[in-house]
Amino acid sequence: MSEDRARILNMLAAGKISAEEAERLLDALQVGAVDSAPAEGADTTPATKAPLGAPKFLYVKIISTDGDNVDVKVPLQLVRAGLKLTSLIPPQAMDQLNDSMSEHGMSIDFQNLKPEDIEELLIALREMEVNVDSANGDNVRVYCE
Amino acid sequence: MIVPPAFILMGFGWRFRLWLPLFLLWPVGLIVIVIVVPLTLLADIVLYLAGQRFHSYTRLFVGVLGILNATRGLTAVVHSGDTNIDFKLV
Repeated sequence: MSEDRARILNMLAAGKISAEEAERLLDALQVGAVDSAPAEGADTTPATKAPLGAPKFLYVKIISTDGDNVDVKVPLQLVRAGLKLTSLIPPQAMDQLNDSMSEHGMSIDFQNLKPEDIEELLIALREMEVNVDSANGDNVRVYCE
Repeated sequence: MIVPPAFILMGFGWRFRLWLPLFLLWPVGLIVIVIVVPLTLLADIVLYLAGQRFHSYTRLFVGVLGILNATRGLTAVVHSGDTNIDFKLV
């Protein structure tokens, strides 16, 4: 018998709660246990959990107090298609590109960018959210969904 | 396969709004593909034989088509005091 269950029954025996209240509490305890317990046979290891799908759009929303509104929705498929094109850059040009990028503080090696990396990058974008609330009430939101 | 955008909506100001049925251009695009792909394949074979292995115009063409198709869903709406711009690819 679980500790919570025993406590409820003790309270009932001591007359602190009525039988109906005890029944309600036990029901609530049972529902809570079912919700928190994994289904029988379900594999809960993080590696085998169904991954969250990659977001489909990047949203940029700007709402200013002056009444100016900007709403931009960019399909992330564009990023996927664009990054795939980097595989067509000849090695010499790629070296120059990588050097130029690292000179500007972005050490990204496009040569090693694989399709699964692109997918991982897009899935990680789901967590990205930028919220800017300025003092004059202007609001900027950048997020992916 | 990604379906290319079927409509383009453009709106400038409050009065001017335009729907363009891009799907009417799909057959034209198909004809362009049929003409261009053999040419790019030929160019790739010639370049490959000439030792320029890194050029792949066919893949480049397919990649550019992929980017054009991926624009479906692109939306830009700007509503300001005297500027109103709506741009949607559906």
